[in-house]
Amino acid sequence: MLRPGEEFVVEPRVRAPDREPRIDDAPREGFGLTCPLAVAMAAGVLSIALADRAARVDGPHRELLFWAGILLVVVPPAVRLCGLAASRTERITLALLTGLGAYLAKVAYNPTKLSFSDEYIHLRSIADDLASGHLFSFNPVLPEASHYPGLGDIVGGLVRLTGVPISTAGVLAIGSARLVLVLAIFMLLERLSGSARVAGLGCLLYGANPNFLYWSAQVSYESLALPLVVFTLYLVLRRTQDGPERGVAALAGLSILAIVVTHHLSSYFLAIMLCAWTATVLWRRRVRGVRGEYSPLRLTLLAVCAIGVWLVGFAPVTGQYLGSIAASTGGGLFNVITGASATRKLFSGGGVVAPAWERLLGLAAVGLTLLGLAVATWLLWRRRRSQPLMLAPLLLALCYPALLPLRFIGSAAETSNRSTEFLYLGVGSLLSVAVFELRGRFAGRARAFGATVVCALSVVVFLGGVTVAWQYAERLPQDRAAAAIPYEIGASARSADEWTEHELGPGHRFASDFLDHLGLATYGRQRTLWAPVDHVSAWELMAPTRVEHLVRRAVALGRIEYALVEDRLVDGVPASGFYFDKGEPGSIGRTLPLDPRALDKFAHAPGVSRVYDNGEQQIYAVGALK
Amino acid sequence: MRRPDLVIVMGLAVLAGVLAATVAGPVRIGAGIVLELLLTGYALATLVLGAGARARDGRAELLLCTLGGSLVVAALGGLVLDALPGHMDRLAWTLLLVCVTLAAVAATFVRDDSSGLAPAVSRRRLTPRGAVNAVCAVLALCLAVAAIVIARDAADRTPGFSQLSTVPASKAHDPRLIVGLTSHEAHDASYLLVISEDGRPVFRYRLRLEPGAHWEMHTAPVAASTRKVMVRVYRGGQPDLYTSFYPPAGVAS
Repeated sequence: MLRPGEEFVVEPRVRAPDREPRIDDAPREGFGLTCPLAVAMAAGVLSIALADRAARVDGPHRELLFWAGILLVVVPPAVRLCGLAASRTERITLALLTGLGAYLAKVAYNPTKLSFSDEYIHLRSIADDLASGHLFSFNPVLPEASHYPGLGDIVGGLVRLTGVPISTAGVLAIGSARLVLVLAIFMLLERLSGSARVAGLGCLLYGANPNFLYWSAQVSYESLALPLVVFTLYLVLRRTQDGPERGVAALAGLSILAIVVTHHLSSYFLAIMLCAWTATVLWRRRVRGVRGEYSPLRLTLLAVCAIGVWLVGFAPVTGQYLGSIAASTGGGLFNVITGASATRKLFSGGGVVAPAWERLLGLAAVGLTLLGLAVATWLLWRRRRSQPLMLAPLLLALCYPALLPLRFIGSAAETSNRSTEFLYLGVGSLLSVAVFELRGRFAGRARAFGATVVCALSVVVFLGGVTVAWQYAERLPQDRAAAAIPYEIGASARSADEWTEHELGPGHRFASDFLDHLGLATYGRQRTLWAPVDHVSAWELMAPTRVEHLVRRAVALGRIEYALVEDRLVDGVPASGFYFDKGEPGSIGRTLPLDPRALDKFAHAPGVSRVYDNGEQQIYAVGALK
Repeated sequence: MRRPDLVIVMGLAVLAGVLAATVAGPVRIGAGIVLELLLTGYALATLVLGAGARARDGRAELLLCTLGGSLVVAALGGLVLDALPGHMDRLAWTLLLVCVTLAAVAATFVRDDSSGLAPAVSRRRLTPRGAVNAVCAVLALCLAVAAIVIARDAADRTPGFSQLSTVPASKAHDPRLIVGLTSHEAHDASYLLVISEDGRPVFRYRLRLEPGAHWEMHTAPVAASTRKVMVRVYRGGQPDLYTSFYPPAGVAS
């Protein structure tokens, strides 16, 4: 059996067409400088935590602390991963620590409560599953999420076994998934290239994708499913290279099923990769007469069939959900092309623009990535196009520049952004392999200098990814004492949400702004409005400045019982542009805050009781407006 | 002894299962995490990977399959439990994970007859470099824990607030209201509560609440002719919070 690091041997029965002779000459064992570097990286996490604390109390130097922390997390491992001296063990450990360090940066944002919008979606599903003892409860925040219970199973199981809160169990589960992701990328690349150096650099470059810091670290189904996708691809590659092992194929099959029940897009991505893999092998067999290559046909069929069965039998709402995203993306593209709407301004949100140096860094990272992809494509096409397994990363990487223009379109920017964690599997692979293809052309000092240049460029690309990782205005936690529109659910909002469950009971139909609708649905377990299902948007009720016909119609149509009003909505413009619902009028390029009369109107409406007030949130019983 | 690692895994699985199902506190937390995120995956990984998993080069692969396998088992395990009669409770999860672990270990024992030798244990002396590494590892762990503690304390520190609520006493047309006042302030807080009907004050009450304390009262029955009830809370002489209530009859009139 071949294992990474051994000399390349062609076994009699099984060909390993994509294994290259080893190009590593570094020692294979020993932790080297891992432990001292781990201290520096942990100090980086501490610096980020101090930045978060400073941001919560409007303290000084928060930006400085944040960037110092990021540098400490990234630069020490980058130096060793790009260098020539580290052993395989050291590279694996440093890659894992980099992934873990970036993950802890997200955990430090709020260690005890979930903070990002997608996390509330799953918090609601998991809380319902725990309360009912069964899966597939209706989720008013995102109905399709409850049809993919994989994350809920793992987190719910941990909650039941350990007794810890859902948020803590979620952090543990996604932390474990983060380790799987980094390790699987390392092992996959090591098998593809035959080099631990390529694998280590590939992990570092994958970490440069803008979603690595926050988006892929949140407690969300995609954060779990994508690591399992890479894990599955690794198992399939192992089966391809090491010959028939039923156990490995069985584990890959189980992993495919787990992905199918966890996240729709990840399972489709895996199915596409497997289909392409199988098609390439079959084509080479038929056209080129290549024999002995393993074709993952059965696993591909399993993936396609499982997706079909799950989609039709258990999650039919997925089509509507993904269709709405596609329609929004297509509509935005059409509007920009026809001039009906303006392009989106990069690096800005909520009226706040990122500093010039950050914008420059972000653009430099994208430019370097595109340049690197051009060189890598040329190199690999010349040298490795006969290797079918290198074609998949190549094609994946080439999708990255194709989707970049969508970032200029307001309603399509999210599609481009969310695709990066998938596409960077190709980008990271391609760039790292190309770096070591180039490395072979140099020797002595030139090679050492080249390693330094690669390290510097990798760090620039990583830091550039951080600049576009999150809305600049919301990259650090919020100072709740400042007069600003909230982007985290604070203690008072949470208290209001919990009050609704205790005093009113769960399941009442509520309208509110977007952030509070997440809190009401999770902490209050209320039935908040979901426009695609209820055919009425919270915007129709909340945005008008008077209780007019539109408001009464919205109450009647949505059978709305209560409205939660957040006083601080008038203190600014949300970074996302919308106050109540995605796609509400005026959300693209909004610069003016909400009219205060919109929030005051219920206080003067006859028959509308104000049942709750905590100074920031008020709850009105609006059912009488029907 | 053959495969001492698997014997240890069997013992740990049973122990973790018993602890997760019966005790509380940190022991339960540790047992639950080990059982769900490590042991099931380790048992599965050794079954799948065979003897190669214990070779030095295979350790990373073993770790990957341990973590990945655990997630896969838990993700699919919930579906299995949901399909079975009964609820997905603590005992059901414990039994499922312990059974999967023991079954995988048993299957490995049955299959693994030729490669079942115990892995060679390399005895290493603690070198000065090893000692430095150990100190660094502990230091790094301490720094990471300190980071999370600092971040947690900062996140939990929020500005104080009070909350006032007014809801009908019951749904059965009870003419009384329940007025509730809760303090989430950092210190003791004094309040003046005034209830008025159609603009006429009918009730005044001074109270002082400790942080976290809740006060609640039932009002006198609201007259059928009343159009609007207002509850105001004053602090430091200034109106701070208010709620309002429209009796159904008042709205109708």
